[in-house]
Amino acid sequence: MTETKLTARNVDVYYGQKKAIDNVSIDIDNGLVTAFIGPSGCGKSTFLRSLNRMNDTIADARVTGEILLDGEDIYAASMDPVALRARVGMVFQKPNPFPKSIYENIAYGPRIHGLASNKADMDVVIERSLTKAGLWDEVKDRLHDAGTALSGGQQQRLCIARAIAVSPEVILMDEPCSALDPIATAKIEELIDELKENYAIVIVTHSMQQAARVSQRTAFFHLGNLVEYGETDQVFTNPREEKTKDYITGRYG
Amino acid sequence: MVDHTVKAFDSEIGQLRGLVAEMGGLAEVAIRDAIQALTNHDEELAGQVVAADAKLDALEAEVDRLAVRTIALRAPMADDLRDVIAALKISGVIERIGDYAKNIAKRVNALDGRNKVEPITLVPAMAEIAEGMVRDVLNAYGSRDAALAVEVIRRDQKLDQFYNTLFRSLLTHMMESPSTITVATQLLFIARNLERIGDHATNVAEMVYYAATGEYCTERDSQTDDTGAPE
Amino acid sequence: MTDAGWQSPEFTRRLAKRHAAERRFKRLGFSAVALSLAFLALLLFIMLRNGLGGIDWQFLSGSDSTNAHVAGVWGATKGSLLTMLVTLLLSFPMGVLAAVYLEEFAPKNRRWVEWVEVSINNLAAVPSIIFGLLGLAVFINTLGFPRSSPLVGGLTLALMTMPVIVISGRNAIKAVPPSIRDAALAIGASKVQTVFHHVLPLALPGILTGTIIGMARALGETAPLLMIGMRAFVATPPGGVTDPSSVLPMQIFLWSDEIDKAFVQNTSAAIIVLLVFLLAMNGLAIYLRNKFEVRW
Repeated sequence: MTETKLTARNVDVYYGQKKAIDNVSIDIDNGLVTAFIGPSGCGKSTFLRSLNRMNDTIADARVTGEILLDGEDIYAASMDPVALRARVGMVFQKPNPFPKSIYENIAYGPRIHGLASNKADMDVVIERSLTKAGLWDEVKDRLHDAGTALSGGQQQRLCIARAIAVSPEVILMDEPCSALDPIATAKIEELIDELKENYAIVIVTHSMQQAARVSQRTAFFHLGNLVEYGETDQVFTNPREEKTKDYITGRYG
Repeated sequence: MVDHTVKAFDSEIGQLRGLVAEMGGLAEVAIRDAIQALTNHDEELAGQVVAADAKLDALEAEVDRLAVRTIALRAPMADDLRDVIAALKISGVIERIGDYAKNIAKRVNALDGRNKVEPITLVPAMAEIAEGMVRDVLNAYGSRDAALAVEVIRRDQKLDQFYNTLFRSLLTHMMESPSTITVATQLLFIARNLERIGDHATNVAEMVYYAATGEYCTERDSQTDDTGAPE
Repeated sequence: MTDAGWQSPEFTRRLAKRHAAERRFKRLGFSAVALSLAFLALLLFIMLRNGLGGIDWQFLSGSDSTNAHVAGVWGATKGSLLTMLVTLLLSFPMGVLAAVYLEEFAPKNRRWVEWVEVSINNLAAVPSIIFGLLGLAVFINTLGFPRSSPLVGGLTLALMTMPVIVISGRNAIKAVPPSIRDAALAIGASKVQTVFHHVLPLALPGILTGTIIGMARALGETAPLLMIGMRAFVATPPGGVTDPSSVLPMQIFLWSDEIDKAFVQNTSAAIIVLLVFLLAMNGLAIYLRNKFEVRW
């Protein structure tokens, strides 16, 4: 029985006066991959960024409603966004490793959160993270090379390893493969499949084929509304809503 | 229904549906001509029905090809996917219906003008039901009409009853006058072919229902077939 | 366009005109560069011709004197060094921290923030002599710091240099792509950690360049230092920041004012020393910038 990790209730997100997300309620469960799909500007990335309070960095962004992580409201005054973001990690569309060595890229998170007290512990954390991200064998002999010297697909796996290193509970991915070639994409999809055993993963994607391949639940967003949310195979073979059907069959617009 | 943004997709689905409709029309004609050849003992017409079956086979191969191509190139989803899969399966079933019609036509030679057996008069009526089922199920396919498909499935009961009646009647006939066994056996096969055509039309109806609604039809489970029941 | 379009005489004519315009611009651009370089070369040539002969160890190590043949430039040089030190120690931290605050921490759409930005930008354009007046009024008259000292000179020049550092610092920080900040924040770094561990290291080359440019400008300033009294005749080099002193450009100005023709060579020689100083600073800027540039 999967447990619910993140619960959103009646969430609105405003950028100034503009309402980007309108009354969205959704449950994200642990141990599986949830995909957010929808046309450009439908708010799926905005909603994703609300889940780890990354919208806080945008000056006139405002979030109302409730978002609970394991029952705690993440927008409550008592919730520190810094601690939250260690529990809810994020991987971005364009790989963004720090301009430091591979080792330092992974070590930074555990260091600032105090997760490794000495070098030996840190080495263990780094090896474990890189192994889980499927990158260890490729970089174990050059941990002190620059992270930016890796290929695009490797950089993205490095970013995933970096997110894993702080032992998150949820991993948010914002179109992680859109800058990668098909082989790198396939490797990351395989990685996501393995990672889902231990994390709740939410992936925003433009590619419906990717959502169909990788996720167990799919949520379709349209103009800031959550139109349909269900098991992936049901959404793609027999969607309940006309709008969903129009979008996934290419009749949209 | 709104068009696909990529128009070529629409035209491919349209082509597929057109081919299936064409096959359906040919199958209908085959059944009608076969029965007509039977009642009028028209060997030439029977020969035409047998020859025309080749076209049906060719069309099935074309539907196969087009369906595989559409799946590979368009990655259809939702109702498009169900449409393509349904077209693929329905074309196979219609091809078999055509084979049954051909089989009926082949038996025309074996039944010459003599030795008219009384139950033979039931055959045209039974054929009309079967033909009607095929026609209506193809209409249901064309207009994505799930309700019509369900109604066709219900008609199969009537066809089965017809078959049961004919079966018993012919059996009685054969027991009473063994000289009619040859003719009666041929009629038995013909009746069975018509009953099978009805079953296949029901298959098509189930697929039409699935393509239109995305659900599996349970109508057939509630019907009974007692040809195997003891006397 | 018809098939003959690409070959038509009209098209060919047009194409030729476009190429001619390009050639014209290239010649114009080159002439502009050549002209500016020519003026610089002329300046260097005149200075070298007049002053090279006067550069010897005695000139470089001696202090000012009424006797042109004995007068040296060390006193002014040491004064400049001390003044620059004070300027740097004050303007760099203040400028960088102000730039960081304005770019990263200040709320984005408040009125008062906009006023602060406008004020700092305007400060950079204020004529330097006004800073001299400010220095005179505040540091010397109100606070009573020793007149003509590198301390006061440094303080005054720091006020002048700070806006330059803030502006170039802000630009350097603005140039750091948001993806780096996002990456750091998403891993659970606080705002301060993000800025100091990730943004500043990447902005450093730009900040250093801006600082050195600001310092080079301060090195050459005369007007504000005039107001705070660094124009006095000083015979011994300053011992510390509170001793009376002169600076290089001031020394050049004073000597150029002398009636004794013998000071002409000294003036030109001092100008050469100043130019060498400036070249060295620029060279240091380029070196530091390359050293700290993080390739990403």
